Amino acid sequence: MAPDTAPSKAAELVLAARDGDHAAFQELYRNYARMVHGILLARVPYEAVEDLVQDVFLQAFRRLRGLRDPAAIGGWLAAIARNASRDHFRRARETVELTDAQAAPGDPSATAEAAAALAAIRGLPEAYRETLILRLVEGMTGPEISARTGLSPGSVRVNLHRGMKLLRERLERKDAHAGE
Amino acid sequence: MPESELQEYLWTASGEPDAEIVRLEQLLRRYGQREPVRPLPALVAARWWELLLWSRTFRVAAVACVLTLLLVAFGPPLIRDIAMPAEAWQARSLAGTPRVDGRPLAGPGQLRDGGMLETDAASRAEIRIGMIGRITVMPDSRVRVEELRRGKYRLALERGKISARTLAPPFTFAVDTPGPTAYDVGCAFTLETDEHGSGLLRVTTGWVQLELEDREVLIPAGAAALLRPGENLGTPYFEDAPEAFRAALERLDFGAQNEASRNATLAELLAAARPRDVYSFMELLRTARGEERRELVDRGMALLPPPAGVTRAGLLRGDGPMMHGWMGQLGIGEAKRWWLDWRDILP
Repeated sequence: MAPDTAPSKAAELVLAARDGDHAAFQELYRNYARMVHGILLARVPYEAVEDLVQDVFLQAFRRLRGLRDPAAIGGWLAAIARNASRDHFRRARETVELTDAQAAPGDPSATAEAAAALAAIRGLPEAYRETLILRLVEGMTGPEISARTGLSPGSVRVNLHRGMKLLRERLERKDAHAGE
Repeated sequence: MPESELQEYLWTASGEPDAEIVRLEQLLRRYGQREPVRPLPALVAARWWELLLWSRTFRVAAVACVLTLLLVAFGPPLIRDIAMPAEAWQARSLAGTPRVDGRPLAGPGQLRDGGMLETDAASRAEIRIGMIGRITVMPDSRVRVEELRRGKYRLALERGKISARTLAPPFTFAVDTPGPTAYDVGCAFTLETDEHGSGLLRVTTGWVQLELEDREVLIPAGAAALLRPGENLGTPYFEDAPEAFRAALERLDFGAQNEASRNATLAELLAAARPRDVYSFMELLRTARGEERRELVDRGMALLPPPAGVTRAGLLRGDGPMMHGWMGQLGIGEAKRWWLDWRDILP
């Protein structure tokens, strides 16, 4: 069953978590983990994402009292995730990381193709990149993306369609180059 | 396939699938968040205390504990102070049977505006001045409440001795004597006088200001000033000053002397002084004129060299910042009134 995306439900969970309800925070985590995962994946190498997801939620847990509007938890978590990805690059500037193709599980040829597709999405403008990853990688629907991130449905729809159009063009161009 | 249907699949992930989107979904699924999501073990293991701190029950309990502690610590005196009418102080006997307005003070009592507390040779009493401090009235003393309202406390020591300890803004508490008035500048002191105005003020902590007519002197901790009937104020001196110094100072302040004998007394004072006694010189310089002023400055500078920038000429003309700088060499701190008199006129 899809997690509850209603803002009022999220706000209730935030208020309960603020009062020390551990189960409420775990539910928030379950409801928003995919969104945070997708936002991070749009920016940082795959093998770093899972740990960063945990970092983001621990940060959120510590700072939950600073969230003025409990119903805005989605946008707030998204902002923490974006900051966490920037911090990750500041910290990891001098470390050597695995590529996504090396890190992802599965058949090597399919993995290479997947890595290429992911790289193509990451090459898109930021607004399209994030929305497409949430849709294609995390399996979220447009309305779900809107409810989770706090973006308006119209913005998500535009980002999805323009982003997909741009992605198709780039992948076709890439296939054409490969065929030459 | 119509564009709108393709768009619908991209938007809802349902309906007629778009082959390319489906292929991408299958390819990219490997990078997605795995289900079920990894639990947050760190939250459970390391952050339990934060959960505790954030819990409403804990916060309410913590606030209740703090309030209870404050109430236990400050409640009783506060309640006493609130319960006590503004026009009364608490008084109690420490020994013997003091009298309040002529009536024996057996247990705790009240001292109202205009009220009189007397002790005999065998009795002592304590007066609690609102929240600002306590006064011990020694044997054979008589004190009268002259002004009693919150923020302004004044009593008269008609005779005898009191010991006061206060914690209040400067000049909140004053004690009149038959001679000068002592103003509390935040301190502990003892004050004694007879019916005619002869007595002694000794400061043990902080500063006290003595005022008589238009003259005032500041007495720092460790110093004292004599009280005598008449128009003169005793110059403060440190109690460990040599006897010859103290005797000469008393004669200078209160002795009826001709010019020759005054000069001789001044010479004795200058000869007996130590560096620390230059504080008395500084107080004498408030009124000294002519040759007497020059001698005080010259001997003072020899005993306590002033800091750079402070000149003899400046001290002779009573330059405020220079006097302040010189006083700083004594290392006795600054009285609030002194600060107001000197420091705030610095450029």
